[in-house]
Order: sequence, then C-alpha cells, then structure tokens
Amino acid sequence: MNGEIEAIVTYSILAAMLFSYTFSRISSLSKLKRQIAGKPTEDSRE
Amino acid sequence: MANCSTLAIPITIVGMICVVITALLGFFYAPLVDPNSWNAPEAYRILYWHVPFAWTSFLSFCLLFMGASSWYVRRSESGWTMLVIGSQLGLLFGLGVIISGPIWGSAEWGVPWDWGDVRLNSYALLTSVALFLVMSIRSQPDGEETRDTLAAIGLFGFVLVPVTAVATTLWRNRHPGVILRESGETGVDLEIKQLMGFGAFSFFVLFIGLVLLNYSIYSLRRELEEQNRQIDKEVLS
Amino acid sequence: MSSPALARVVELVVHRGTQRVLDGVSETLCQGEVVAIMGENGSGKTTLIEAFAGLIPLRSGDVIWAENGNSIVVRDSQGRRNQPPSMGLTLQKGGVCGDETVMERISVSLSVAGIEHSDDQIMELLSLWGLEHRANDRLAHLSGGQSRRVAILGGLAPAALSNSPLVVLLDEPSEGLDDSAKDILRNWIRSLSSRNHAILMATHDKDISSSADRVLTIRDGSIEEQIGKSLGEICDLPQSGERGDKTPVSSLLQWSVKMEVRNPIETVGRVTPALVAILLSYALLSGQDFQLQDSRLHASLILAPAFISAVSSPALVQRLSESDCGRWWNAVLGPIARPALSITGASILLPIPITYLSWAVLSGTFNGGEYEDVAMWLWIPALALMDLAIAATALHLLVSDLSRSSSAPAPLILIVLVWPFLELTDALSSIMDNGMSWSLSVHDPVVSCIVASLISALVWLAAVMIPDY
Repeated sequence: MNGEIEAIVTYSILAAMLFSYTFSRISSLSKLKRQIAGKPTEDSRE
Repeated sequence: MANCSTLAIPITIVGMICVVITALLGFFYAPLVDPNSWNAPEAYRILYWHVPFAWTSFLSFCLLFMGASSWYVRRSESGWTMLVIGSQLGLLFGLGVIISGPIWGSAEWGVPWDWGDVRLNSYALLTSVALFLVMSIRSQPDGEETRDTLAAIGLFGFVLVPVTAVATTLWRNRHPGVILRESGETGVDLEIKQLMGFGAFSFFVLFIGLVLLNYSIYSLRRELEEQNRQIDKEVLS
Repeated sequence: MSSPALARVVELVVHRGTQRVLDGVSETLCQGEVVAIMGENGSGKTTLIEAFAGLIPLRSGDVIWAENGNSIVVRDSQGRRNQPPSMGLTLQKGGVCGDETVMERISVSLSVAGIEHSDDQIMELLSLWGLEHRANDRLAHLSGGQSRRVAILGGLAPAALSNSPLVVLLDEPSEGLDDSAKDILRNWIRSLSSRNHAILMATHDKDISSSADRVLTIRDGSIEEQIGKSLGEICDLPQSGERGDKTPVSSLLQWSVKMEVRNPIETVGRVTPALVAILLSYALLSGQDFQLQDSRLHASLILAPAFISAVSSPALVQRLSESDCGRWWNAVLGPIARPALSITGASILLPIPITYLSWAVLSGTFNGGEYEDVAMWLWIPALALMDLAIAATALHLLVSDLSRSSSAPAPLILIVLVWPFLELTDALSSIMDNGMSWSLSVHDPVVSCIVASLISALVWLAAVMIPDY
C-alpha cells in the first residue's frame, strides 16, 4: 500500500467540495444580478 | 460595490485554475519521498492541498472572529457581513482539513484521529462552530437579537481555542503516542517548498475571490430585500 | 406632568435587521399615568414595551428606572444591564408556562416583585377576575381566554398589592379577552392609576386605549403624542401589603422544582438515555474477555451514561420557550437570568447516582473485584460531572436565545465538553489502576478532575458572560 488511492480519494473529495461551492456561488451572483435588473420599478408598474 | 462584483468572478476563476494546477503539480511534478521511511509515500501528496486548506481556513476563522468582534462591539453591518462570509468559508476549508487530515493519518500512521494534536482538534472545534453559524444564519430570522446571539457564539468559539489547546497539551502529556503531523515540515526539498509556496498563493487568490463573491452576493441580497420592502409598502398603501 | 418619573427611555434607537424600528425615541412614564402605545402591525409597539423592560439590545440610548429616589440604568447601548425594580409585566404571548397552576402564576409574579402575600389575597384577586374556581388548574388546561386573563392578572397583581408606585407593562392586554374581561381590565387600569402606579400598554384596541391619559402613535420609528380620554371607573382593589425583599433567584428555583415535580420530563428525559447506555454497555461487555483492555475503556463506559444525561437538552429550555416564558423571566431577573437559569436547569442531582448505578451494573463484567476501592472514590469524578452539566445547560440556553432555536443544531457547540469527559475518564482510569492518590502531578486523578471542572467552568463563563456583555 503506497497511499495512492488515499491521495486520489482525498483530492476528489476536496475538489468536489471546492468546485461545487464556487460554482454555486457564481451562479447565485448571476441569478441575483438578473433578479435585480428585472425587478419592476414604480414607473414600469404604473 | 460594482467593482467588487465585477472583479469577484475573474479572481475566483483564476484562483480555481491555480488550485487545480497545484493539484496536478502535486501529483506529477512533486518529488517522491523515500519509500523506506514512509509507510504510504504516495499519500504524502495530500499535503499540497491539506496544508493550504489549513492556512485558508485559518484566514477564514480570523475573518469570522473579526466580524463577530466588530458586530458585538460596534454593531457594524460590515462586521456582520464578515461574520457571515467567514463562517461559510471557515466551514468549507475547515471541513477540508478535518477530512484530508484523518485520511492521510490513516494511510501513513494507521491513526485517523489524534486527541493529542492541538491543531487538528482546534480546527475540528472551529469547524463545528462554523457549521452551527452557517446553519443558524440560514434558519433564523434576521434581527438584532439573532445577530447578537450568533456573534456571541462566534466569540465563544474562539474562547474555546486556548481551552482546547491546553486540554490537548495535558492529554498529550499523559498519553504520548502517535503524533499526527500536519504541517509542511515533512521534507526540505526545494521543489516541495516551491510547490507549497505556489499552493499557498493559489489558495490565497481563491480565498480573496470567494470573499469578494460572497460580499457581492450579500450586498445584492440586501438591495433586493430593500426593493421587496418598498413593494410591501406600496401594496399596503 | 409634575409627578415623579418612574421609568424613562432616552434617545432610543432600535434596529430589526437593517431596519430602524425606533429612531431616537424619548418617553417618560410618571406616577399615576396611563399611556397607550398604538400603531400599525410591525410599527414597534412591542419593541418599545420590551425596551422599557430591558429586553431589547439598543443601538443607542438608555433605559432608566427610578427606585427609592435612585436612578437605575436598566439597559444602555454599551451593553450595561441591571435588574429593573419591581414591576408588573404581561408579554404579548403571555410569558407563562403551561405546567403552572393559576395560583402559582400569580404567586410567582408577586414573589419576584418582592410583594408579601397570602393565599387568601391571591384568591381575592382571582375572584375579581372570575378565576377563583380555577385556582388549582394548570394553565395548559384552561381556555385561551382564561389563560390570557391569568397572564394579565399576573402583570397587574404586583401593582394591586403594592403600597408603593410600580410600573406595569402590558403588551396587547385585550387580545383574547371577551367584553366583560375588557371592562374589568379598563377599570383596573384606572384604579391602579389612582394609586399612583404607572401603566404603559401597547394596544390596537380603541376600547382599552380610551382609558389612557396619553396616546403615543408610532409611525416610521417616531412618536406622535395625543391626549387620551382617561375613561374607566375606579373599582375596589384588594388592600395593598408590605413590600419585602425581592427574591427572584429563589423564586426561580422554587418554580423550577415545582414544575419538575409536577411533570418530571427533565428527570425522565435525562435518566432514560443514561439507563439505555448502561444496559447497552452491559449487553456488549457481557461474555467478552477484557483482560487485555486497559482501564480507560472501562472508565469511559462507567462515566458515559452520566455524561449523556448531563449534556441532554434540559427540560427548562422547553418550558422557557413556551409562550415567551423565558423572556418573562429574563425581564424580571435582569442580567442574572442566564447564570441563574443555567444552574437551576442543570442536572446536578443525577451524575452521582447514575455513575454509581453504572458502576454497580458494569463492574461485574470486567472483574470489578480487582477495583474494590474504586466505589469509595467514584463520587469525585461524578462531582466534576455536575460542573459539566451546568456548562452544558448554559450552552443549551445560549442556543435557545435564537427565535427558532429548534432549527439550530445545539450539539455542534457542545462538542467542547468532550474534553472534560476525557479528563474524567483519565481520572477514573488512574483510580482504577493505581488507587486513589491525593498528590498534584499531571498524572494524578485529583488534577484531572480539577482540570475537567476548570474547563467546564470556563465554558460556562464564556456562555453566560459573552451574550450579555
């Protein structure tokens, strides 16, 4: 046993955590920007 | 604020790319350690992410602590923002430390957890406090009293760090056994040091990017909330 | 008004999230005044009442009460907090626990305010509100309207029996009351006012606000004042009695014990998991050969049941979360609320018997005959578990401050208590291996127990002091 599998498993878990968190944050930011841009203003509602 | 939002995504992506490069270099470029003196020589490569995760979580916990203090002493809105961001990032990177540490410890020393290791135990404690804060911020209504209670819990978590350090040290005095090494003191090769340095830089850039990203999200949410409140008032009138 | 002031708020600024609810509000409550606070939903009526009671953290401003000619800062924006003088308080949700009887509720309100009273006086009060036949019923068994009458009477009773002016704070007192009860309330308000007590009430009910001398309307964080109609008849109230010393902590202790004796959910809730742990350990250990195991495993299994019972969520937390009961105690106790509640709510009677029970059951499974003297000294680590129990209760109370505390994962901040447990395991293991030793080196059981108690004490201190700073 030279630990290769442990290294691969560790990197996989950590990468999954990092990537999923980062991409969820980026998509939250984009969604919020869209929501604010598309929010009806007083003028447009009247 | 607009600058934050514009820079956040590019900085984060640059950070992610550098972090991936660190991992690839760790696997394919970093030198192999002496197989005669290591039980699991390939497992040492975990170091190149484990240690930067630890440093980054340390930065996150500092952010959390500063935010909690700032809210508690001055009721500063930016302090509260720092607490929210610090708890999220502290949870992310802290979890990484307490997942990768035991896997490496198991592979190399056959010991997944060492109650005598000050840093591992402190990280576990702070990560659990961060998890508590993240879950509570999501489930509780926002208000002065909620913020006070959560900031108090954040500060409480930090009071526990020296308590844990002393308790761990006493435990180790009584039970000197396998010591789970976590720092980058395993080798003195120049290449290892260079790669550790690059890893530190990558994670620092990623940390900055994520802080800016979360700050932008938080600011936009407040703006949206303000708009919703305006609409509430218009509906009532 | 020329009457002496009993309570005032100065330049109060209170936020809810990022919204400013009260913006630089200053008001004075004088002897004999009846003041009504009105406004739309969410305008800040309850916030102002609770600010007067010292319950709300302030962005700026002070809450100052008067007692015997002295000014007491009940709360300020620097984090200072002091116990308010005797008062009557009825919160919007009632502030009562369902396990209390009607009689007990009134008695506790009076004791906490330092009003000496007899059962006959309480019965007289109850009869004036049509509740004397319900004196020994639990509040949980009353109708909503009756329960509301009890909560309101609990707020009015200290003033009714006091021979010196008190402040009475009522939040939405007419909510849940029928017309006859509203009439009683209005007349009591005017009668108490005639005895120089000051009444501040938040209400949207025009029938009740018509009894006020002044009406304050909250709009956009500011107050507009109008003259009130002062309607209502003076009715006969019971004879006022002597004011004794306030005994809030002993009242709390008696209240806690009574609640537990009546409905022992605390005892059952803690003993059950402990017993299950003992029986599980017995089942797992029986028939196993543990000659090669060191005593640490045995010690941890002996102490684990008591540890589990110590860290379980205290029943007090559930009782206090009912109808803002905890908030009422917080208001009347002031800054000693948290330390007092953490000690009264802790399971300090259970660690020693559970530990001995655990020893009695489990020692046979690992040649306990070799550890004959252990039973003589088992009480030492069990005693330190009492400190751990108090620290755990303080942490549970810290989490219960959150408005949706059931959604907050309390066990995450209890993890630190593993350390005292490990220290006590070491202590018991040392006693088992080497017998009791009273020397003070790091490896000796006394030091381990002291360290465990110190860690628990530090955790307790942090949990009670930081939130109220």
